[in-house]
Amino acid sequence: MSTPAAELSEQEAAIYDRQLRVWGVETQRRLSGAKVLIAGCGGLAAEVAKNVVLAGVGAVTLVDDTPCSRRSLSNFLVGSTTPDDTTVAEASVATLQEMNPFVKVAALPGPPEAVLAPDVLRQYDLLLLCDQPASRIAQADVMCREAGVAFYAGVCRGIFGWAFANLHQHRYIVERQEEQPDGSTSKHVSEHNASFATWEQATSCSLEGVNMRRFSKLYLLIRGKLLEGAQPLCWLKLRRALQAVVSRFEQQQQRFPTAADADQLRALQQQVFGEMGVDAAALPDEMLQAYAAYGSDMPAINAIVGGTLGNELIKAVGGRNEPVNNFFLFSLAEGGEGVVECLPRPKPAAPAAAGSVAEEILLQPAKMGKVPIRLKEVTYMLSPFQQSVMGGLWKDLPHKAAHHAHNARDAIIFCVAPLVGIAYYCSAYKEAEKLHHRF
Amino acid sequence: MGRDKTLSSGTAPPDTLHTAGSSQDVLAWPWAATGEELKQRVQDVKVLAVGAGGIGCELLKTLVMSGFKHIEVVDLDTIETSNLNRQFLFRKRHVGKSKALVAAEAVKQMRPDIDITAYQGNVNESRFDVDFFRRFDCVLNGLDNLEARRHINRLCLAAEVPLVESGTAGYLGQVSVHIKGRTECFECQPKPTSKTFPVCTLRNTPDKPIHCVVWAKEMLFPLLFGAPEASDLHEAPPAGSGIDAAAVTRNIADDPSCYQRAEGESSTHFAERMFRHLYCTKINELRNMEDLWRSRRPPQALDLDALRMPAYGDGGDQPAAIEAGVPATASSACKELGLSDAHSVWNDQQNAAVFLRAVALFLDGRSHELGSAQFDKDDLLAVELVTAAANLRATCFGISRQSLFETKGMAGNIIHAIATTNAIVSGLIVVEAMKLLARSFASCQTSFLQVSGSKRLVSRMSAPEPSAACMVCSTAQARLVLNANKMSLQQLVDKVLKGRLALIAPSLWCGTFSYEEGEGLEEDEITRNRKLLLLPLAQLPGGGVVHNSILHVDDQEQCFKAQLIITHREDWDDEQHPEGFYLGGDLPPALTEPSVEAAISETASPNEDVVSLTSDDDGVAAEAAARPVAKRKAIEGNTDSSKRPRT
Repeated sequence: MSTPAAELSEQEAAIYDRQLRVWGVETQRRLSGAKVLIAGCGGLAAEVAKNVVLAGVGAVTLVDDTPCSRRSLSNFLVGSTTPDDTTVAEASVATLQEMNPFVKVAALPGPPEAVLAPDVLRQYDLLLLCDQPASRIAQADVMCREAGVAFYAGVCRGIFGWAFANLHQHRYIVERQEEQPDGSTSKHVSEHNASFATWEQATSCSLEGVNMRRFSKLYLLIRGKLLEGAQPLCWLKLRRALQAVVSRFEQQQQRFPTAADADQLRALQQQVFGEMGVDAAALPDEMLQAYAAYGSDMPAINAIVGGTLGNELIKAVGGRNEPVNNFFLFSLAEGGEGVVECLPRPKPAAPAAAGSVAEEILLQPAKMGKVPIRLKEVTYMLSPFQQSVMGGLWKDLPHKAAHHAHNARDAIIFCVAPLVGIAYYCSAYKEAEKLHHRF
Repeated sequence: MGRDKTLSSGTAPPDTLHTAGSSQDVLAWPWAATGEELKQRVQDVKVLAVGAGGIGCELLKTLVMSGFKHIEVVDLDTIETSNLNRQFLFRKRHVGKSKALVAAEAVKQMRPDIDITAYQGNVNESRFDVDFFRRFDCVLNGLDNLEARRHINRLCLAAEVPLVESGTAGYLGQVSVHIKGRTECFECQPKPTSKTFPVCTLRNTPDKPIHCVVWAKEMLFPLLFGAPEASDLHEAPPAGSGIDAAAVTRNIADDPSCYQRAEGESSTHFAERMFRHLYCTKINELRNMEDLWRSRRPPQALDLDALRMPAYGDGGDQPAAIEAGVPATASSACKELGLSDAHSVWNDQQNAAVFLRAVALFLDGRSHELGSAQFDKDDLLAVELVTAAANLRATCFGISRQSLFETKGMAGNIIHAIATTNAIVSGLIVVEAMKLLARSFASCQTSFLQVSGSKRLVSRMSAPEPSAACMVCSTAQARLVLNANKMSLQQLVDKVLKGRLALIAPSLWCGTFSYEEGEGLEEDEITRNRKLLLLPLAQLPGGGVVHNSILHVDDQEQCFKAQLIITHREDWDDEQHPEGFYLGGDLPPALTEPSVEAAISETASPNEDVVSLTSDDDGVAAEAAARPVAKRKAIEGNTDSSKRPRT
């Protein structure tokens, strides 16, 4: 998608050393040729921008004309001493440029929606919309498809955070290290192709056959259709309804609601939703409380979703590793897991259906994403090459003996213990027998 | 569960939310995450961030943004260029400065109203003792090595401070919570130890690239430039140590002095002599030991003259510096030779040229380091030398060669690291810290970051229970406050060990000092003990029992083991603590007192003088209390049955 830049300079190689060991020189070169546009400069955008700038993307452009006096407090890129009349985009650009001088960081004038013009979009490889309403996401998704620009959207609200990806048609490689029987490792590279569904398809598809109990409630909240058969409720309307509940509470009580005010909120919800003609049963009780604090985002969740989005952006422009297709959902209300959902659900028998999952081109038809991946514990900071030399044959003999004894501990327990046990039992039995006869 | 409790227990008026007592309330997680009550707690607590590196930078940022106001940070390291790709609080101009100080300064810029203290130091230092840790409500780890993690784990256990532990490598990462008595401690699960290679494989029969790299780094490098005794390359085992080994090593062992530069020998000449010695003489010696090569391919010696780079072959085009033996000032052999791509694999000629040039450059340009040089992954010349030496050896043994970049990673134990993983992990750490503040211990979890393509990029597992077999956390630990200058050993034994801990025949040791009681002691031991008992604790032999000493107490008869961490206090208030000591911690309550059941049932005892079982599950406490009883019964049972012969 992007034109790879020339060779890495020596300085770049020194700074990028650790990440070159993760994704290699080729990906780094592709990254440095990519142009990324980020619209909306809240806490989430700050996280993603920081991540892609550090990674060494060629150019990053920010769009948000909110003055610093009214900025989101979770944007850590805006320093405390910034004059109030600069826009958040400009203030963030200054910090980002200092973070990595190899990246061209710039700000475009105008509000975030100013990017929704084909002429603007065509100058970039990728657009990321941060904390924008659903209507704008839908609009941007259509325009990006027309302009051939990869599209990402991310939203963090209260204890929820999610990201949506639409890379249209995306080619990528997966590199696997395989351990050979003789102990050496070999690299195995496979090429894949994935096609993505549009936002429209992803939020209006049928959920037939989906196990609702294990399905992400957050997706339902995004989609605005909370339970099967309940009245459809668009994201914006839901937000308005929730805000109406919360603001009415604040008017009545003269304070911000807390978790302890559940009953009162519930009563208010019935009342307000009734007035607005919305089915109150559509909203799980707890979600309401979480939204009581709707106005703020949690920096911790910004970091989690922003880190994931950073990874996804790097995968998208680097063309390496399987990207998220097409939702990443993180909700503290659902156990703090980061779930990947593909919607509409791929039909296993019909790969030609719109928005089907990654098809493997070169590999045998073992479907990606169908292979269960076991939990893998990170070995605390031991690199694959962690090493130390064992002393010479006669050095440190007691330690070696202890080491071997420890290794053979199970063998000792299972092989020697029964023998000793039986011998002991026999002698004890003989003794008892003797005593028994004596008396 | 926790949520129901809060919801049903009515509502506290908002203006009294941050009074002292309320900080013990269990909040409804996750709904409280954005609530005012938790926000207030976040502002009030004091947290310790250990490490200001990859995870540390992200963590400090996330903490400050989340509203944490009182933060302390410890880090020993200084900033390096290769940190700048992910440790985003640092700039190029900061290279060489303390990570902790620069990071603290940077986050202070983000939120000037925070109170942050930075320490540049090793967490193993004595100033970071149990008392230091006890000041915090929560300890958050962003470390890069196992030793420091273990140390912090033990201190947190001793100080009874909850610990959030984390680690990342490439795209993978994990965050876990360790609360004493409630979840497993960091050392409950065995941790992988570093990989070791048998020295004979390295010396005689390497078969992987890493063997050659370790040989070059650990054996050859110290032999040429460092302290020769640090190398195992020329070591000979003592005589009569088995026939095979002796036969093998008689050939291999050689005089270390041949690796020293002779009087008047030029550096270029020395390099060539080393090349011939290592890759021709030694390889041929090995090849002659036919026992080794029955099932392996024998090594091939290298011929230096055949490997000279064409340009240098006749010596005509050789750089003047090499010919004339002029002291070289260049720091890189590759640059001189025009090998700029760190990712390409050199051929044998290039390897030979780099080896010769690097040895010569080291001898000429850095003669002051000779005899004490140590391998450092950021030392370009050393990495070049190791790469070339390892590759030449790999050629001899028919192993694949590695690029400079790869070799640097292997020799330097470099951990793959990217900013995104650290950011996600920092978010997960702060989420866990907020759960701890909400006192919602049941929702604490271990989170794992998974490789891309997984159905769950962040997966979870509820925090496991502590392992009873853990050497670190299952041994009871307690804090013993006393005046070490006043209290005698006799008082310690009678009042604390026998009176409070209900030991029958206590034995104790502290450093080199030990004391034992019970049957079967010799006459002279009893007289020695009598003298010792009268001494104040601080004057006992072996440095005495003083502030921060760890007193190991055990009672063989009860199978009881505990560690008492001594806190010395001079200004002792006899009225408040008439017994002359104060004991806190998770030890089982004294058995001599009839109120064992009472002590268990009233868990959160406000009177700390009573051995408290606060915040423990009833079941755990009961089990701990019951342990000595059960043991004693079992002993009685045994003696009974042994006295009564079967008829």
